[in-house]
Amino acid sequence: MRGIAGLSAIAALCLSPVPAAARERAEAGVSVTLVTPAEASSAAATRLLFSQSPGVLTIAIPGAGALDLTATGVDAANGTFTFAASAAGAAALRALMADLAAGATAGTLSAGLAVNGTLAGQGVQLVVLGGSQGADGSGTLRATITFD
Amino acid sequence: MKLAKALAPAALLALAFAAPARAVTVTKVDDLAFGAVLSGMGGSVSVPSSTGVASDTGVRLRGSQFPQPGAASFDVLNDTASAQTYTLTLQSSPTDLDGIALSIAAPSQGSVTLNPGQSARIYVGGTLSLSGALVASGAHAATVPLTLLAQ
Repeated sequence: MRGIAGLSAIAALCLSPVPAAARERAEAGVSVTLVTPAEASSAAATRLLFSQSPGVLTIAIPGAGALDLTATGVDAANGTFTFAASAAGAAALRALMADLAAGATAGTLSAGLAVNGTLAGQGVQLVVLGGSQGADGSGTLRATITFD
Repeated sequence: MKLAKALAPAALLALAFAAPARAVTVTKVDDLAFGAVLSGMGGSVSVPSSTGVASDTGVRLRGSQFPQPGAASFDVLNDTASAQTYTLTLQSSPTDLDGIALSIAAPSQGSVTLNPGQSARIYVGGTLSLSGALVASGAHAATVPLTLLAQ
């Protein structure tokens, strides 16, 4: 009898599934959101910019990094305002301007506003396509910028 | 009857071995996200295999209105009654995201030793490299899967 029991135990051991090396996997997604401004030009000198915080614009420039600009003296209805900039490196120019005029920190900027100035000695024209800023600081500004 | 009694311990033993505990559980926590990037500018966005901050070459849009970048994350759980060491590899590592060159980074840990019931969070980042070509107007997202394997 003991022999039978012993054999059955051995058989059980042999027939039972031996745990294979533990394997488990999980799948995650990879995503990106591409934003293509409708007004963007394929010309190397003309690109679109987006604001990132009130009065601060980040401009992507071909062959360079980002520019952070804070506009000053904005007259949304009309008029050119000036801006100055200082180079912060060959790859990424950073220009800092004074705070937005009080009237432009909230509300809506007029589309069509065109401004001219220089950035690191380079002529720049900026045309506002539209945008808005809320009192809480959120909002967007879209414009084209052209370097000559 | 005697035979049945004699076989009972063997049957119990067989059952014990026939039902192995689930050894490891991998659960996805977050997807890998590169945020929002401006089409037509070229450049890259890199997300580290950690909770660290993404870096970019000036193409990523940072406004609060845009989705933010972040590494994929997985929880690896030891479901056994003893300490285990698991090797972590990427079984699926896509190289293209809707026509954009994609490079998936190594997981934050290549292996992990866990006590019974213990779990570890593993991060997977990557780099997205964009050409300067303009794509179709409008914002859109693309998703491809990557797979973390623990064994």
